[in-house]
Amino acid sequence: MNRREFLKYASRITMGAGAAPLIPRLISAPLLAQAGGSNSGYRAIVCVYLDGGNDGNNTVIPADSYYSQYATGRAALAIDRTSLLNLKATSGGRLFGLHPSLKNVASLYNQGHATWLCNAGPLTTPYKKGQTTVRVPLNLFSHSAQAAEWQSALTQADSSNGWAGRLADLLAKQNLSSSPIVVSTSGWQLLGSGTTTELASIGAGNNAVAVLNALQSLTPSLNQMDSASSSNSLSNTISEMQSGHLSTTKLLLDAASTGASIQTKFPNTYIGQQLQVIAQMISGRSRFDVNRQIFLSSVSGYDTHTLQLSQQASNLTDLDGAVGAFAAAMQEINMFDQVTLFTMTDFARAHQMNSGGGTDHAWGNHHLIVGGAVKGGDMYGTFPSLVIGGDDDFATSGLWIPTTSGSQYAATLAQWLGVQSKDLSNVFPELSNFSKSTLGFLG
Amino acid sequence: MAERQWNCIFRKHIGDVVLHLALGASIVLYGCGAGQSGTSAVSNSTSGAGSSGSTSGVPLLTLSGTQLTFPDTSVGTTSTGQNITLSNTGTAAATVQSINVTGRFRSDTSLCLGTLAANAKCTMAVLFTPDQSGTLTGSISFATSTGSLTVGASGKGIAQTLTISTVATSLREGESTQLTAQLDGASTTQPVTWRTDSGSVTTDGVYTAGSNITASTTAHITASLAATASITATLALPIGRALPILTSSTPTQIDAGTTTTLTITGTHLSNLSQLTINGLSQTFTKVSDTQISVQAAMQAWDSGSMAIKGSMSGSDGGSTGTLQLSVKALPVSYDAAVRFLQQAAYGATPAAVQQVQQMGMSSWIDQQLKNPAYDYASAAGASYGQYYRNTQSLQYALRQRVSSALSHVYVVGGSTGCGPIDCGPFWEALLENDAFGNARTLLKDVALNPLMGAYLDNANNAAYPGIVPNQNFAREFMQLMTIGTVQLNQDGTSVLDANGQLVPTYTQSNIADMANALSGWKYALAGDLGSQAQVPMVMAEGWHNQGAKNILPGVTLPAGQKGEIDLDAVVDTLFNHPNYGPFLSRRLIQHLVTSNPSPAYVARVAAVFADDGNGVRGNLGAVVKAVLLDKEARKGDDAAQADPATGHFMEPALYLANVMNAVQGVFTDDQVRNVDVAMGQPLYSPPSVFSYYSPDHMLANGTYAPEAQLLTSANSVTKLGLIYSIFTNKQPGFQVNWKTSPFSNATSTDDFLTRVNHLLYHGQMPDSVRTTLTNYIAANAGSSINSMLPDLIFMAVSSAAYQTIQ
Repeated sequence: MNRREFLKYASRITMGAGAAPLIPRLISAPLLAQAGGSNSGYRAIVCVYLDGGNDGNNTVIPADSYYSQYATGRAALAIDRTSLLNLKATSGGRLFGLHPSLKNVASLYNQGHATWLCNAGPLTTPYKKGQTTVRVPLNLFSHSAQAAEWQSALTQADSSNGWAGRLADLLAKQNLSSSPIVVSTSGWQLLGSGTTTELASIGAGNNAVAVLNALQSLTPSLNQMDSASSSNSLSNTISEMQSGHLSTTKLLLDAASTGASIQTKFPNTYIGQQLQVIAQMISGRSRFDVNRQIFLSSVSGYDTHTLQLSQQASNLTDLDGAVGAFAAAMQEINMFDQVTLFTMTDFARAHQMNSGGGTDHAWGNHHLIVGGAVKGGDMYGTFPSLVIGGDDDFATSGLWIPTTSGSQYAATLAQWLGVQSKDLSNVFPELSNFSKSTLGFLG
Repeated sequence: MAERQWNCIFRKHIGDVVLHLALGASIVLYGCGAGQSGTSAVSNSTSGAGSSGSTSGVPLLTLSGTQLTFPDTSVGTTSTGQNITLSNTGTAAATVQSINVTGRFRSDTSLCLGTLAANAKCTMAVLFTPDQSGTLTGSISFATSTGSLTVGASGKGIAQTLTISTVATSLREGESTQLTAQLDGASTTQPVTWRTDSGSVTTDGVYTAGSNITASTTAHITASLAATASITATLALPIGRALPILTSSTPTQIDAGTTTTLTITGTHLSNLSQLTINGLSQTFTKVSDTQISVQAAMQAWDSGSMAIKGSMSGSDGGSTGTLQLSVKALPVSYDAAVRFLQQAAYGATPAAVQQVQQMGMSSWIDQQLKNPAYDYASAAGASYGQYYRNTQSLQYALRQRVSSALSHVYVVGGSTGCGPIDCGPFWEALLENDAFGNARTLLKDVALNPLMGAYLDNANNAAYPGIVPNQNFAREFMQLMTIGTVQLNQDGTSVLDANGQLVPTYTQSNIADMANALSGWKYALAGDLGSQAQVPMVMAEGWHNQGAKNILPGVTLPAGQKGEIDLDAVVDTLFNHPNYGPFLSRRLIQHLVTSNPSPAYVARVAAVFADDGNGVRGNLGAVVKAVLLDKEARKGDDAAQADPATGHFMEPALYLANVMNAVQGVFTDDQVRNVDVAMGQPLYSPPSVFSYYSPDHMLANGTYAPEAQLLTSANSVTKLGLIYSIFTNKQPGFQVNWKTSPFSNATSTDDFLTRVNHLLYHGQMPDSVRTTLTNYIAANAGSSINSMLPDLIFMAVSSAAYQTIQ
């Protein structure tokens, strides 16, 4: 019996026997699946991963007296002040504007439904420029390493699992459900892989329904073939993984199909299609017997070493269209308060432009959070001073040293999903290195 | 019987003398022979039963009884006698004129015929001689001078049964058996007469079957009592043809994978219906009754001692004796060759297996190293079909596999900057040309190729005073293509410092200086990349940073060097970096053999990278050979030695090519593009410089399985659907002719499973696959295996075990 079958089996036993629900060790009671399949108290977080490292410096831009500092460092990459989309003043009295492509986001922010977490990045412990005894994350400025550190919330060792996966491990342990907790629209992501959780993935626009129909009569044989162990351990793990893929796909398609009546139009972009499928699955959530889910989407093209202005404008236009539609869809189905969308990206980009009209890899970056539960209309974290070679610059090209860690950011989302404060450090081992565990942008 | 004989002798001497016996004397006289019943000479007939006589001087005749009752007596036998005594108790003599015996009784009546004096008596014995079963009655009537007297007689005849017993329940041509006739279930001394309608039988019951039996028949053997011919028994004895017997085979040893004429001698071979070798039916010709000629078709995977068995079909059928045939395997076993081809090529075809078996792995690799590369450059364009067709060619197999492995390390996008065409084939040409050359050549070619220049932004990457070049290529040239981020031991494990910490190979400032060192290159020609994809970039000295560059800790290039000098220095530095050998060795091992090589395996290959034996560093041909022939790679050729943790999951492109080779399918055009895109591995278009998946992708259990990064539920279902579509000939761009596939015309489920086991699983098919396929065939018993091939082979190639090269 493989792991998945065990979970399904245990689920039937628990629910069929009407046994008292297991009280989760780390997760508060609302996380438990309801025996009747009710999704009351459903919550989901939706990650939009910006692959390659979005240039945050041209995404959230000082619109007050600090604009000139920004523009000086950015040189030819600086966005004209008049074209910025103005955000209402922060509680600290700062004024910022958004990249002109982010119209929907600016609107959501000003309505109080969105916020930016400023200058967050992988951090092992708080770090200040020039400190030699304080450890910084491994392999700074490397795409693969920084993406992994964001997704694992571990900065000092390679990890085979991500923080959303570890969170799902806990949920799965307590829910004993056959429904996937982590669902990706962009293939495998370290973020959603746990020590026992295997993320489910759904393709946008493939012909999976036709495939499932064509293979219906062979499915029992295919399952039988993957049901027993062979002498090779890798092959055994593979068979465990693929043995549930047909039924998982059917479940995801059923949910998306159930929720396909959403009226909000999504843009026909890669990220737009992904967020549309996610919105449909949330709308069709009655098909799932879990009431906490984590959706992963991803879009590439953000590694703008050259010709950044046009490329980023295009990227952010796609992002803004998709996020705006997603927010509208959640409002349409009355799930806006129960679903929180957030961005992550490899790293920021150097404030200093290179000779190709692009920017190179940096560190701390600004991240977008959207949803009815967001205490928006204000900024969180600490905005860096945009002085190249200054105290906030790791080197001499505007590589901002993060003042908030990825662990704090993720822990805030995890807490909103139901992890009790005292238990956050189990999911985020590096969290205890920081004075504040969570950041308060969700209520 | 002795008593009877004595009576006969006695009678012979005394003749028909009438004895007048003294009163009180009692001598019992018995008749002899048969036919004593009937009426004797009669003078005065009297009638009446009981007694008769005169009153004065009157005889009085009385009988000892009025009824004789005999015990049950077998038909055809004679009972013991019962006496009748006629007494004259009168005073005068009486005369017995005649005695009439009726029924199946007889008696010597002469004893009482004639005068019976007063006070005399005569006794005669009556015998019961039944000739049929059932109650039989009769009487003995005395006609006397005093009247007639009658005694009734009755007895029951018991039928006699003759049976034939035999030890043999059937005989074959010419065989004999002793038959025994039994009378009423017991042996009898009665003479028995034997006869038969087939074969012969002796007077004492030895039956011998006929000598020329050409079809099974039945002999009827009849026994009858000589004394009573009506008492018979018949035995129906099946008589079969003579069983063919194999006695010798020439030659006694033949080669695996060949068809050899065997001369088999024996007896009665004209009766042979079928001949099998190792359980598989063989074609044969009957030369004579003592010789056949067999076309022994040995499977390529056969080896060792195999049984030759014959059989004769029919109701009299049976098996011959067994001969042993020794099958000589080629130097490389079939299964080992299949496994090797999964590592070194795109799976096994019968022809490829034969080549590896005949050449041996080492020579096969040597030949592959010499084979020229396919000319992708002149065939460029959207030649996706050509790429896949080349995976089916024995000429390009290893070079293409190695090029594919290198393409995961040296990554470009074929469409970047190429306008409407896909420049991927040009990159393929570069990698294939350099795949077996020196790694330093490869590095410089990679650094100067305009496709790489465009992809990682090092083309037109200028350094002006105060404006820095971009670091994209500089970083990835180190991180992804040569040395990685941390210092490595020669066995690929990470170096740890005194505090147990990893040691970075470079710093951020090294990256900036590496970018400076690599600055200044520009496209050689104007226009798009498609027209110059093989023309190296050229140096624009004005764009090249002129300062000193600290490109790695401890390595500084002096100021003022020309751009190409700096590039050569960079390439030399990275090529000679101690990390490069174990770094590249691990990646090649992961793509060709196993995701989790032991450190010792990496170290052995890295040592060949460092020195190919001729003092040359970076000889990729030698490195590839070391990867494939390493004992850790070859260990699993012997199933008993297979390491359970070895192997790697097939990436989609490799899987697609393997599957198509397995069924000898055809890529008819370029529409394979739709399939590799859907499977998540569009040829020449990786999603990023990190390729389609990470070499460090781990399973939840912490072991590496890079290709499994693509094994998501969505990809899984898509992949299953596409392969099934291909196998059912519904996928444009693909054609599978099942009639000519290596799996067609299997003679049995076993034959089919044997082929699957060896061709697809190199003899290590898991039980779950065997069971699934067996059940599926059994559940569709109405269909032929041929008609089920698309389903069956689809399942066989969908198992995790098949998709894991192990």
